[in-house]
Amino acid sequence: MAFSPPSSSTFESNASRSMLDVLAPIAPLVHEIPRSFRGDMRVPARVFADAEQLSQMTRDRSLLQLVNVTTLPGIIDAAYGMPDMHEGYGFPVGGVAATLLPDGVISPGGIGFDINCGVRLLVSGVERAAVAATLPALAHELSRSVPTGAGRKGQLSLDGAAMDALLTEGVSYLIRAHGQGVPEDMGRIEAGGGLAGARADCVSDRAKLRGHEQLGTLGSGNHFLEIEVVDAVFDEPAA
Amino acid sequence: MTPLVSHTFEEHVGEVRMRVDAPSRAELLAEAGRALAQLSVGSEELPSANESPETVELQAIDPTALLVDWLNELLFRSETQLKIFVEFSFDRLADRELRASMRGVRVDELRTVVKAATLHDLEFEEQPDGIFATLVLDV
Repeated sequence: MAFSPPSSSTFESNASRSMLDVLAPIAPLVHEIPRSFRGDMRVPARVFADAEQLSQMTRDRSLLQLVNVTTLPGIIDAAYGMPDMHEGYGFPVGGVAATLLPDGVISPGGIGFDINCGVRLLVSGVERAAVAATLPALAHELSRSVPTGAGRKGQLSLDGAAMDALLTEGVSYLIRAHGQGVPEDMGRIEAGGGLAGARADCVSDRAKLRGHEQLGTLGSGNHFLEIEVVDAVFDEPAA
Repeated sequence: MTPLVSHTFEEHVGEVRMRVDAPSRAELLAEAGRALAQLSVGSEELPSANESPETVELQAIDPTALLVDWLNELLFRSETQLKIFVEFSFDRLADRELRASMRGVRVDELRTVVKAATLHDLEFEEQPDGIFATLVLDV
């Protein structure tokens, strides 16, 4: 079918609905928008979803955004849409793409601009039955002892050279200089809790000032802490 | 008919979309600032200012960018000082620059922390009877 790219940012979700016509099932719960859909697509777009999830995706511009992702220079294989995909800034939330070095682009939009917004899993080994009665008290204590949100300062306050050392070295600095954690912790954090080549002098003073109060807190916005129960282990070595 | 100064928060899948209407640019900027303050305290009722005035000077490439930069300056000061701003006056306001004085009040916490005012789907239209702007706030 013919399709003209939108000429403005006010593109309506009607385009997403028309994409349903060209979404071809290629496997159970996997649908593909082929490269032939639009001339600037470098790879196809593939969506993992059932019929209801696909219907929900047509309510916003996420399918169109996923097609736009397929045009990124250096993209390989396909742009993928997860079952919870929804509209984001340019890149859909729940969209996945890989670009190939050396000339593939780096897209901050692929992570919603939340650089290093990550997940930490702490395993306790405590059985559910053993703490069931005290869970409300435990949740209350966690909310008291783990500062979160703007206005709740952490116990750690680093300025100037100390802040720069933290930004440069990462978690190893906290362990070495402040006794926060033990070296074994670094093995359980992505990239050891630090990025090689990080340069604190590339971070503006305003950015450091804005982040200062959130240091040592859970953060603000949509950050959260929750207690989970492990029902089953699917990958024993990884677990 | 001169439009009233107003703002509304519209439905958005993951962020906050805000529409602001005003008869002039100065009133639009002030109303957008009050809207941010309402978001911050989670209430339509805003406390009175009791802090000393602060001055803001900004330069941008056009009136639209000036609006976004203005809101991001308010967000920065609000978060770093734990303060909301509720009174605004403009000593100078042109297409690409402004000088404003504003007063605020300190708060214990920010109920909604807005990361940034964005250029995404930004609408800014000046008509003979007033101005409206629609912005997406990254929360």
